[in-house]
Amino acid sequence: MSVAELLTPAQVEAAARLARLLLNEGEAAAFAAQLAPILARVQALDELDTSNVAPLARLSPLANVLRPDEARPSLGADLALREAPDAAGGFFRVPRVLGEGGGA
Amino acid sequence: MTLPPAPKARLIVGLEIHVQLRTATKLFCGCAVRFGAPPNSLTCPVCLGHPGALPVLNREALRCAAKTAMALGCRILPRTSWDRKSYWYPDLPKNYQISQNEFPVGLEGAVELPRADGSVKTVRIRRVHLEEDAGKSLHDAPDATLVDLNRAGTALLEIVTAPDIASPEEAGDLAREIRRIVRYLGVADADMQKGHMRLEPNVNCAVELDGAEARTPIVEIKNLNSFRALEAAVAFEFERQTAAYLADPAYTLERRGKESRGWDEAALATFVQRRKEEAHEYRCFPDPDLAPYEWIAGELDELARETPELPQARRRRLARELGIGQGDALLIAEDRATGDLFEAAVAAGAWRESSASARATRCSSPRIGRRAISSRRRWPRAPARKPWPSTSSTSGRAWRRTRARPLPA
Amino acid sequence: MSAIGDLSACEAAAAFARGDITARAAVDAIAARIERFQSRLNAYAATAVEDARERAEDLDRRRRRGEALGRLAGAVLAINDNFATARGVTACGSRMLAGYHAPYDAAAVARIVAAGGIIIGKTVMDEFAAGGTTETSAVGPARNPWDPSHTPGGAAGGGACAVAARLCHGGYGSDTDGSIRLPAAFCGITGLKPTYGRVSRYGLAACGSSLEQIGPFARDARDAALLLSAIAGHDPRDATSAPLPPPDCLVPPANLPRGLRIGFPRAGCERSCEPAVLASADDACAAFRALGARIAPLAMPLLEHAAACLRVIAAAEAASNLARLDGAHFGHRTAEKAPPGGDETEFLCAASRREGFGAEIKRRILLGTLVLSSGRYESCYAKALRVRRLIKEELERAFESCDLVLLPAAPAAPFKLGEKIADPAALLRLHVFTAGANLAGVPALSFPAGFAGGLPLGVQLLAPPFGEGLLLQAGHAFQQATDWHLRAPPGVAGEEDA
Repeated sequence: MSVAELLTPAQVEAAARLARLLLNEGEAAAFAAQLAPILARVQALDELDTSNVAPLARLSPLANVLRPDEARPSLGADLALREAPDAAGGFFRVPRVLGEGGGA
Repeated sequence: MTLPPAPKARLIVGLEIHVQLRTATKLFCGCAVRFGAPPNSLTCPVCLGHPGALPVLNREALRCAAKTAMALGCRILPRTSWDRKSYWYPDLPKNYQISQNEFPVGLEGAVELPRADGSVKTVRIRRVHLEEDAGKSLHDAPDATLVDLNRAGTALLEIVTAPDIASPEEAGDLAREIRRIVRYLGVADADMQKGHMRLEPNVNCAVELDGAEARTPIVEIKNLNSFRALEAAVAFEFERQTAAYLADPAYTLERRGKESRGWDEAALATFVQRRKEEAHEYRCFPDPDLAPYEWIAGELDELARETPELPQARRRRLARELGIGQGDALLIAEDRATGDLFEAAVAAGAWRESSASARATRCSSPRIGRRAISSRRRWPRAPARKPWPSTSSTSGRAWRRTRARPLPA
Repeated sequence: MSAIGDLSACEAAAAFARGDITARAAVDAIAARIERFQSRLNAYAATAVEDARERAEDLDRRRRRGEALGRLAGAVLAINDNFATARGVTACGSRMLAGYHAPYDAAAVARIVAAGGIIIGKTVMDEFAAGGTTETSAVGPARNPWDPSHTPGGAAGGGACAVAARLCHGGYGSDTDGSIRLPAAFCGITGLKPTYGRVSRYGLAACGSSLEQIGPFARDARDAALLLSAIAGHDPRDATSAPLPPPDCLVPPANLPRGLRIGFPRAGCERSCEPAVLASADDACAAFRALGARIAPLAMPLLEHAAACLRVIAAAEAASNLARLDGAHFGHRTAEKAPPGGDETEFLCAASRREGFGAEIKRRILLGTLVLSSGRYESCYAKALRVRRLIKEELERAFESCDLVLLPAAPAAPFKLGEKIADPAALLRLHVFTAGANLAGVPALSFPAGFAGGLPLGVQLLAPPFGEGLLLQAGHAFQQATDWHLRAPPGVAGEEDA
């Protein structure tokens, strides 16, 4: 696969939709071209034999880190909402969400 | 006109139940969990998702989850860990939910459901895991959605059954039994009025027509909050799907896959929900901020010792020891307090044999007395639950300009 | 006595403790230097001079009363723009957070303040630490004090610049893939990436959650030890924070441990760096030999894959960590109207992100989204996680035969701003020597080891986990025997404070 084929503008657009990122005119093609050399280096990782190697996602060797079920002070509504671009009556305010939404 | 032979349709339901745990604080931060507090007053940088804030696991929530998983007959994974599940919603502050994908708390359990005909139906439990809840969105205003993040980060237990449920009644009864179990364990209040338990059935049918069997698409009905709504929605879907398939043979699982529908309580019908192509592209990956948990020797035994006699075991024992019929046993064992009260009364000598069925199952316990007890005596029933108010499904279209924020030069 | 600005953090703290300088005078001196050099060097994204003066006066009052003050008292310090502070803006080098005031202080910030440190400002960085030159900063790049037409390195280039240009006594950055060590090398100062878990990440705006650590920018290894000791140690709010007390390496011993073995994978390095860089690494080896160390050859064939491996993981984590920036709860929100009939919430989010993020971080987010999607998860992300384990194991094997591993810090001398920004492959290669330590979580020290064309070159030492003590000891011994770290950029040091 040539470097250019590693990532198409259509794939970039699909990723942009997933990432809620509106792209400007021409960005899909530009980003595809700019990411392709990175992906080529990533593809080079395939040279390495990892058939018996477990993934390493967490660097800390710790396990069993817990906290007691004891209440700590909350920020309070004022501080919680202070940075909100739009707030009303103690709530965060966003445009009306269509339908019921949510995925979980 | 001769009617064609009636097609045979079989209902297939799996249930996904979310139960809010009765911990003092949220799953990953120390904010208190309280119903009815002023909006956004129970939040902190962690559950608000501020840059730099980090989650730390609530020990009590983990214990509750393990107890529940064991009570549901699951095997507890020796090592359980956390994953990030991405999706976009204004009441999900990080736009990902910390959940458990690969290594949940428990797997492969089963629940026994007594049926009216005296049989016992076994419903398999696929998995039990912990995850954080989202906040609450209010869609009452036509041009805005208001978000309260008090609930964001609350510990939720997710219980997923296999598609072993075969009728709306079984679905309702399974949900009721799960509620009984979590209340017996003391891990959840499961107050339906407060939305502590959310029910999502996955419904499809196997329709046999002209000797061939086809499956309808699996419909996920989102966020039902009462047993009545669950039963009604499942029943509705059964009819709707069967009719839809008979009207259109392309309405199959192979062609259409999975769909999401909502429940309209007023119309007593499901409705199509806008489904985005990426709705299930959750991009789960291990959460680097949280350490896995490895159960220590003896810990699970300790949790098992803390577990009381569960509803089904209690009902069986009541039947075996006191000859109590199924209907009565269900009522007596509805919650621990009622059961305890009854058994205390029995121990004090208040029990008498009642109906013929009870005499037939008499056992030789010296505690059983001879005074008749009417099997028709009414035990206190819980008040009829009102269905949870459904949120409006109509969408507002007016766009309000938000305050522009100046950008730096 | 040197000008206050020329003092190292240790010297400033000592002078303050002795009563030779007041904290207020220190702040005034530093503030005057910032005033003079900021427009030329753009080291600071924000300054808080009034706050610093108040803090200083409070420290002076308390010192006069005879109160015991922390080990950093008297030192005027810079922190990276991605440390949450309850006062001021935490912009992370981005338009997205250009007006964002965090509702809390990062753990590291609280510890700096508790130790008596005076924070005078937040330094310029690549947007969300995604870069190696500071050219993606929303407030423009910082400049190399040795030649302002050149990059100071990135991502935390402003911090390195500030320390090198004596615009603070010391500073702190975050290191995700060399983001402390690379600028330290490019600016001729000492930079330390501690062991993963050594310093709390609570309050560090997360970019690469499994990769990054907060660490010091310092004039020398002694200062790095002081600055590290103030912030390191367990924090129950960070579940990845090691349950260890702060390291007790306040004053590193002046000699090398007897028979210290330093591994140097020279053949691998030669393939990946400029001749001048290799020469400075060779010179550093010679210096260590003269101090009694043994330099051993090492084979580290996985070295060349580290940067790409890290990039995948960092992109995935960044895409996830930055999803919270959606125009809903904090940060930039678009003023644009959604097109009629569209999903307004979705538009609000997507348009805010289009406006708030720069091109490079957008590319990282897209890359991260791609590698986590079901089609590429196994072949890209899971693969990178497996390669990561291989790289970690390769380093562990190296430490079986060596006490420390030596590498260049950067593959090239500092280059001109604008030279590589359009070349993604070249920018990726900048991290060839630094990525391994982030992937494996081991500590690494970068310190000056030469010059090329008047621009600094740095060398790097890696140690096994929690081996900061040995690192700083080796760095300190090297700095007793060499004087690279004493050089100052022309036209910057030695000037009398106003």
